[in-house]
Amino acid sequence: MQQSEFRAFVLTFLSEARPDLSTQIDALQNDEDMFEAGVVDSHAFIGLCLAIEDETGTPIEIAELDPEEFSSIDGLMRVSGLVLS
Amino acid sequence: MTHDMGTAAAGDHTHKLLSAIIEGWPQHEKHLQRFFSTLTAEDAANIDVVAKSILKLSDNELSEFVTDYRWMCGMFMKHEIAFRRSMTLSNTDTAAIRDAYYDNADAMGRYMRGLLISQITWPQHLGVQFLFAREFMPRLPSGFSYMEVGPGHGVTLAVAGADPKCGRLSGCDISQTSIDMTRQSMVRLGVTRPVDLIHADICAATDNGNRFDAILISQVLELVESPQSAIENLAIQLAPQGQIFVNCPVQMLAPDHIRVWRSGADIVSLVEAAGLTVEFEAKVHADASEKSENLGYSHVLIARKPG
Repeated sequence: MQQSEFRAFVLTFLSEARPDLSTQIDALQNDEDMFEAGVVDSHAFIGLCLAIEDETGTPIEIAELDPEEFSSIDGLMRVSGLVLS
Repeated sequence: MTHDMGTAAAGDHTHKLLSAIIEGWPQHEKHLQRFFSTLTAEDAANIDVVAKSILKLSDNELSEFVTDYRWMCGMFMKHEIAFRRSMTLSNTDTAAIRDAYYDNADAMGRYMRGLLISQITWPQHLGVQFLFAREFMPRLPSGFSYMEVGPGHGVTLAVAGADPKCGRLSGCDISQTSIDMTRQSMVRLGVTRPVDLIHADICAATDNGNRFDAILISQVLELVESPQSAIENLAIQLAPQGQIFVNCPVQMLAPDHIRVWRSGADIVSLVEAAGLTVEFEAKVHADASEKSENLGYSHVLIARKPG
């Protein structure tokens, strides 16, 4: 999956979860912290991680990670084993 | 430093507490702003009472409490993701959980401090507090006797005790660490009336003849080996026409849970099987997300004992 496809997948998920935040979601930068941007809370973030796992077929191994290390689109792509283009 | 939470209704204690939380965890700011900007004046006033209690309990250690809250949130997130992959629990060994948390003063202390902060940052915790204040307390008779299972940080116990109608205040817990914390909390919160705190397992409780007009059991039925025994024992301890406030997470997980409740109907069945009549039910969601139903909710019910 390319970075642009991955970004589109994340934004679609977030927009479906929070249509009231579509403006902020569309403006989200790839390296921007999603919590800090106010587009996810922990519940939405967990749902997003699981949706990414389903899409990529790769489990996100977070046991030893601080969630803040992957709470951006780039961070999620990295821990999903995808290469940033 | 203070932060504008976007509502004139939020009280001084709320502003002070939220500012400290955002100082310790800046990523939380927009989430908190969004949630607090939707509050009614009544809810804001109820929250300010909770915020005042949290400030008293955290005293000069608020930044450490926020640190423990961050630790707790990270721990919860990892457990939640692991759970949702398989929708099964990885650990149902109550002895191991007891060693890791209830009998471990350090871990239990961090957990309790984190939970205290979550009382004002997690919408589902605030939503349950609102229902307790709006739906449960007004139902109780003058001079009511109140017993809380697992009073923990003591905030809700103190709210019940501050009601002018309250005649007697009690609490019980399986954790001596938690009992000790509740006892300290009562002092810090300025609760001057006697509080009977008992170290006991509600699943194995023997009838000591005590009867209560009101019992609260919140976020306990997912922790105990026999929820049926727990509710049956509490039903025995209700006075005729006594009422119980039950709050139980559905499709949600924390590290010390040994059971996942699959639906609110299962909790209703449990309570009705103990001979109680359910008079009120509500689902409290973590957020307004359309997908939050799939990510669980808190099921609240109020039931009455016939007689």
